[in-house]
Amino acid sequence: MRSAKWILLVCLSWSACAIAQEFEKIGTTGFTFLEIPVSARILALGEAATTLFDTGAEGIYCNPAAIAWQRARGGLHVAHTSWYVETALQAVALTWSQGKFGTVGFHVRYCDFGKMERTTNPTVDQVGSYLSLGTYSAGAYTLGLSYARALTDKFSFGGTVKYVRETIDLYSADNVVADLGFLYDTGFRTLRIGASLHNFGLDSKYAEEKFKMPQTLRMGVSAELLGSSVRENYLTVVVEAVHPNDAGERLHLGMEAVLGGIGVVRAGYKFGYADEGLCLGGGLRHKLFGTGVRFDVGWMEHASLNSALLYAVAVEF
Amino acid sequence: MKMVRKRALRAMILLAAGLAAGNSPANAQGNPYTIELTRGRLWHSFYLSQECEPMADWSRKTYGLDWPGFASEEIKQNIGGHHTYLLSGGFFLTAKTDTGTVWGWDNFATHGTDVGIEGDQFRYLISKDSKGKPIHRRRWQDGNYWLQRDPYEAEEVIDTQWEMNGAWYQPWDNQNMPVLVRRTVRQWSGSRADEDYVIIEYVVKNMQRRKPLNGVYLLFTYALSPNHRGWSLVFPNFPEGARNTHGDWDPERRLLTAWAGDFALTPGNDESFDVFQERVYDPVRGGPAVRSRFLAPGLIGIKFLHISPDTGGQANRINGFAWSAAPPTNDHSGPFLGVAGLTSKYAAMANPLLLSEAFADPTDPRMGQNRLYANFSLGPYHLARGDSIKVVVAEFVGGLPYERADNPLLTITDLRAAGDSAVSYLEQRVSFAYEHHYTLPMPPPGPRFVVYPVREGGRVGNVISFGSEVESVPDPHQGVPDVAGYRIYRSGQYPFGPWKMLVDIPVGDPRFFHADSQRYIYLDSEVALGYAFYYSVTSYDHGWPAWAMDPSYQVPPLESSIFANRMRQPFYTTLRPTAKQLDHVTVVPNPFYRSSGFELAGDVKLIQFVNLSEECTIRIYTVRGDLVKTIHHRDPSSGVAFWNQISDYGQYVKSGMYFFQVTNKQGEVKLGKFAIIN
Repeated sequence: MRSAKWILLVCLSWSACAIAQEFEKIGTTGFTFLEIPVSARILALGEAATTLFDTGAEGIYCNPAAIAWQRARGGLHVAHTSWYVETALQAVALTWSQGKFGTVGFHVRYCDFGKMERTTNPTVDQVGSYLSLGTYSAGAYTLGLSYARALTDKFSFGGTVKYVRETIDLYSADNVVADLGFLYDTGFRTLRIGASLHNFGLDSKYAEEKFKMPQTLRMGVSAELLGSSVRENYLTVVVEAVHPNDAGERLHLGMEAVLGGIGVVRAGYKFGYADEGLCLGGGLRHKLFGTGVRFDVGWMEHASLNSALLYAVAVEF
Repeated sequence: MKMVRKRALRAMILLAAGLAAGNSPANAQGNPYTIELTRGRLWHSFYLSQECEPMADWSRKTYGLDWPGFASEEIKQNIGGHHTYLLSGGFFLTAKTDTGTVWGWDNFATHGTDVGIEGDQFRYLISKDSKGKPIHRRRWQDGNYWLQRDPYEAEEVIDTQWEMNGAWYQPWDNQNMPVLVRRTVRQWSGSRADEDYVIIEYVVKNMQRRKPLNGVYLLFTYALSPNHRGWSLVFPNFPEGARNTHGDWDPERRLLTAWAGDFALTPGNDESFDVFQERVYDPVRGGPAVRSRFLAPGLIGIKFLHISPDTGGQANRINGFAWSAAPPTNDHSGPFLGVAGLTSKYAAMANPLLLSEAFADPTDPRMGQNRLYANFSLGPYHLARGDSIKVVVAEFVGGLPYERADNPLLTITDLRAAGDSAVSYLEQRVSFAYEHHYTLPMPPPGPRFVVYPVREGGRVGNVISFGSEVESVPDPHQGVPDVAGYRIYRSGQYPFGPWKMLVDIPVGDPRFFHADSQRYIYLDSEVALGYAFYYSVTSYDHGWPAWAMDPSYQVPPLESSIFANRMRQPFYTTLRPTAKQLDHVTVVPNPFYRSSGFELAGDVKLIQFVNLSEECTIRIYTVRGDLVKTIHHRDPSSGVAFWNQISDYGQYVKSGMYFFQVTNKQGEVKLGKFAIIN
């Protein structure tokens, strides 16, 4: 039966790769900071996280349906992303379970692009090189409300409504976008399937020209190949097909190994990217004063823009 | 069996002739039978029998007295199209038999397709020379520039000859006539004094062995469209062909002038002289603004320089003149619309007032609200065997150059006066050229020049450098070199101007001339990084008290044409590459606002990467980390690279933040960020 799972995963992987390559439109959407991962666990798994179910509050970021399976009353997730070219993101997510009435969540995401040198062209009468006029700054933030509910003991759905605002120098643009997702435990051993649609919304603009939202459709499967999530040692494999609206089809693979119930080792790989691929990470989790605490670290390298490093703390209480 | 073989042979000959004809003209694009004059300020084209190409309604298909001329790829701003003034020019021909019936009627003008290269479907065929090549070609493939090949001819000469096609199937009526027509086009595009006109000489010869041609009439017809470009801007939904054409015919001077006047059907608006609404950047307001300006305000001039004596024995006589109004849409017949039958056509050739919608009174209400043909009847002629009729026509555009037209204080009256003055000048020049048998004084050649950025790091300036070779080129008529100096011109907007003279350099001026390298070097430091400029260098002589060709004529100083020696692609002011240090790479402008991009000199939406190495690679990414654009900068003379905001997938990118990485061969890496706000 073990080989059967592998065969199933491989078949799914190949079928995902066989999807026709769509026309590339990189650079034709805005608010692309929404696609920057703000969870170290998600990053380390190669961002193949749609079908994780034991996420706690960070489920808001990978699939809103996941927070329906939160076992504790409340969840808190705090993360810091050191992204490329001195761009930083901070994120806080809070979830509260209402039992059979579902789980509500709230999150804030802030992206700081830092300060850039402001330059301008001289007019044709101002001879010389460019003009340097100090600096300008840019940043963006997201406020989101989430709700998820388990309809049965195997199926859940969830959604997030987000207010997005990005400011560049004196201009700003804002919009309201939504994430939707479902998660399904097939009952075939530990196999789970799920899908999520991210950043669904109307166009927005800064000055004159409208731009689209960075919508992404993610479909994935995951399963424990060794052990199960209620044991101290288990291995989870996640596979995800990604369909962005501004790039070709992509495939994410991830593995997570829990050792002794405390140590976590993660690895992932992203196919279909020109400059990104290998992802690594790890974590520690433990019970402290009756509260579950998890520390996670994630790392990903970019061929040209150095690497990204994430730290996160997750608490369940 | 014979028929099959004959047709196959004809097909092969047709193919060979097509290939031969295709090679003969220098025009590699468009219609293979169209020969274009595209060197100086006035651009024009010639088809087998008419000027430009056979008319398709009034659509512009090639250059027609374009003034100033430019190629489509040279102008990226939307100025409405080309500065075309003429859509067709040529003549109709008719004659009678001995018995008094109309022999035939030929259309060598407007929509006519009577002349071909080969085949039995054409009434006339282009003649072949002794080597079997069609006579429709430039006399010199590379031109007689500066009269270095033939001092007694023009710089550009186009020879075309067509004759009766004996193989034509000859229907019972409208037979082709036994004539041979030789057309010679001359232009002096390299001389500033003479670059605005062409002279066309027609010779119509009776090639019959015994019988004469009686009652021969030639009707010269011109499709005038002096506001062709402006019309498409002001009335984009109307068919092509300006309808605000106004004209004046002066029979004493044998001079017709036409210009873009007010369109009679739109009271309250004045569409005179090719007005143009341009979107520009206003630095005071810090945003876009709309400015009204004139780009190419000119008058068409058509002057008959010579007409053979008709049966009345009088030379230079024009039998009759009439304007004819073309229908506002679907003009497929020219001025003979509705004139059916050979007898009626013959009558209209003799009396142009019988043409379709014809009128002679310039106050007729049809003036200024119709697309207009100008029609000149010449004749009647009695053409004995071997005799010929010679007609010489000069065509020119007299107007105000852009550098003087680009003036918000100009009025329509000023433009009209300037145009009239230019027309008067050109009228004198064309008469002088004809009286001296197409021999004209010529300025020295314009020097070959190069433009490159200053060598000192960090300085901004464009260096214009040229040698002194032209100082040893003898004047083609005086026999000795006569260069007195050079002038450097610059345009910061279009390849046709406005031209600003930067400097006048006397020969050997030690401020600019370097004796060791025998080169003149001028530094234009009044430039700004990233802006593009067109440069031209002209040379001028000191004139002569007596012209060798005509000692009674005193040659004034002559200057070579700005246009014949200009850059057709702009030079972008840049910095020299930095010495292998990428620390100072900067993005300009940052952030990019729509209104802060370059809206001048040919390009838009440009973002610059400044202070680059000679050879480096720039990669632009979204903040997500996806590659948007790769720029390979490989230029030993420039430390600036441009991005037009089009991704490697051919689409404009959207507003937002972007990352960039610059790498060079030395392994240095520079990372940075910039923003685009559209």
